[in-house]
Amino acid sequence: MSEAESKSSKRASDEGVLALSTARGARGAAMKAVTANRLVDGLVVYLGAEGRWVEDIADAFSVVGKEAGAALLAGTEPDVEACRIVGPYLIDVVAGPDGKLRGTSERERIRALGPTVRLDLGKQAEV
Amino acid sequence: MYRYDEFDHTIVAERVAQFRDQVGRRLSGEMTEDEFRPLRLMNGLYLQLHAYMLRVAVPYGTLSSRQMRQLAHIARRYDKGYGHFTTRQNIQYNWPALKDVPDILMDLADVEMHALQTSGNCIRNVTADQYAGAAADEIEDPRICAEVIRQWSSLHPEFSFLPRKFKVAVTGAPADRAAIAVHDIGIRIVRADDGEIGYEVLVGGGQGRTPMIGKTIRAFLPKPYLLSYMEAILRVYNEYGRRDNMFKARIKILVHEVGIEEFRRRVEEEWEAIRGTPVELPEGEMQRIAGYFAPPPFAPLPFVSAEFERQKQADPAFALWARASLHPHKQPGYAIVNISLKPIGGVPGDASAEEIDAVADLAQRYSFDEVRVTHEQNLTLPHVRQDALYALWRELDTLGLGTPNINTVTDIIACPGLDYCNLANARSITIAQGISERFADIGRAHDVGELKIKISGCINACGHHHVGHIGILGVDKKGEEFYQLTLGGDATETAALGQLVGPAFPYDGVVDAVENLVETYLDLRQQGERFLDTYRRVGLEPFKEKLYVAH
Repeated sequence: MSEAESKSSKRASDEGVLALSTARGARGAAMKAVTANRLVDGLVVYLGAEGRWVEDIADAFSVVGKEAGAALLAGTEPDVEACRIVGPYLIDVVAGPDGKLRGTSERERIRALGPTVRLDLGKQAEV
Repeated sequence: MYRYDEFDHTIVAERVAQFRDQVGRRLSGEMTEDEFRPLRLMNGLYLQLHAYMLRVAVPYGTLSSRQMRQLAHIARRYDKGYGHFTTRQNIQYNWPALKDVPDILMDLADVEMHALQTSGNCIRNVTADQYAGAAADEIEDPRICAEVIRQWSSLHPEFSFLPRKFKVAVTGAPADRAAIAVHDIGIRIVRADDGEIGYEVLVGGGQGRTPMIGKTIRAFLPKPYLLSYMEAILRVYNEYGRRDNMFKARIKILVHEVGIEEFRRRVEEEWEAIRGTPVELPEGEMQRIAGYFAPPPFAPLPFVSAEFERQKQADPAFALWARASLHPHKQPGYAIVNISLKPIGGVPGDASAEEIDAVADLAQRYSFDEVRVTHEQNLTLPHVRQDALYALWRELDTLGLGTPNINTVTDIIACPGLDYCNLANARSITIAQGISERFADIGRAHDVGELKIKISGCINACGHHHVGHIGILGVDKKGEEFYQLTLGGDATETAALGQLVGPAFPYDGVVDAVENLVETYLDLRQQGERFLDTYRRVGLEPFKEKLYVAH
């Protein structure tokens, strides 16, 4: 396993811990969503309503709190086994001024949109 | 150039077939990601921030026009129309789909390329001076040594699961353009007093979270013993290198912990046991490999082209480009041409498929079909007639590849950073773009002179910040991008690690901070001093004082 890959996994778990202190909802609990990469092409996806995988973070299904987040993540295991997605993990999300969900960290904002240096690439180019 | 023999063809073709089968089994669910991950990494395929990333090996940075055109074809057909040249002289594609990667590898194999040794804890793709076979100061073409090491190291069964990755760089000249002092093994080709050519071997250099300058383990290694000595070093590392902690697993930590004298003793003891055994290169093999790197059919020309000199006099823009972009060639009447992949405000190291095709065409017409990738993320045409430089420059300029900024403040190394990389804490490219735009006035950049700015988006130091005259390291502070600045790093034959200036700067303050450092240098410099010279004369304090007073 390369350093890149193993640290990536750690980072994902770190992000779950970080979420508890940085993105709390109205009652003090953080809003969570699940993200992953689609196996066949690697593109970033989010767990949406009714267990569908969606490409736009705005369509992600969110829950509040650590336990609900863990349950949401655990529910993706069949999709991992079915080779739909790879590397699912929890992220912190908030509702933006437009009411749409977005990631709280710079990393997840870039991941959701595409490279900030190439606005013609990634999901931002499809808007 | 090196051409594959039947063994190379077989190895690469078999690997493509194996990986096609593995991808098929992964997509069908026969293989889990945990099972598949080490296999895809052995084929250069990472999963990055937005998608998969395929890292393609460019051994010692040498490419033919045909190979360049295939890289452009891959960018167009399977990716998003561009590639990214890296500090390892490789090219990376940022958006390939897993299902397409076997076809990409097959297309690469068609032009004698692959993605082996670009990931994993093996001996990685060997890098070398981009001016190999061309530089006026060269003792011997470093690609011969590098190719011998490539053949020895590829799929080496004993060294395919080392404690950590292992990087080797070779320079064939006293001037180090391959950053050998910050590699696990650095090899400098040297000439002894009696005229014999051999190798000075450095060991234990590296960057990352624990940067170290390599130490000379052997001042002169006779050429016939190259492989037994390499094998001895790798065996000692393989036996004693730490496997319990990946952050302490590189050879630099072992050399540091036991000391160079003890490490040398262990290596020499191992070497004594294997020296002269069949591990050595068979007699005549070095000459056979050297034959692949024979000089191209140069024309007999005067040392200096009168036409070239006249054109410089007549066209100041051409003269400026020539001053920035050319390097002395060993062959009279020829020049080495550097092509900047750092247009003002551009992405360092990125090249579109059209640009890659265009450089392939220029190489075919002007440089005996050869292109080099530099570890500073530029391209080089190694063999250009001086009397053709003006025509070449006009074509480069038309293509947008004529930026005359090589070795200046805007010739910045930047890793992909948080815009692409799963590991990054902060963006690198946008910082490079900001500095580039601040110093967009080429006259100002040339007034500043040689200045190496190197930016990494995390401690892994892919952007070589430790050896930047000004090094910039992105860090995460409570979810915000901050940047530490270091001064005085040097990747050349006078290698040094940069020193931290002080507290980190927020994203919006970095470009101002760099400009402040440059202005301080301009105030302090004496006649003929580069930024690095001034820093070495006056030290950190004057820079620090100005920097933090201003902020």
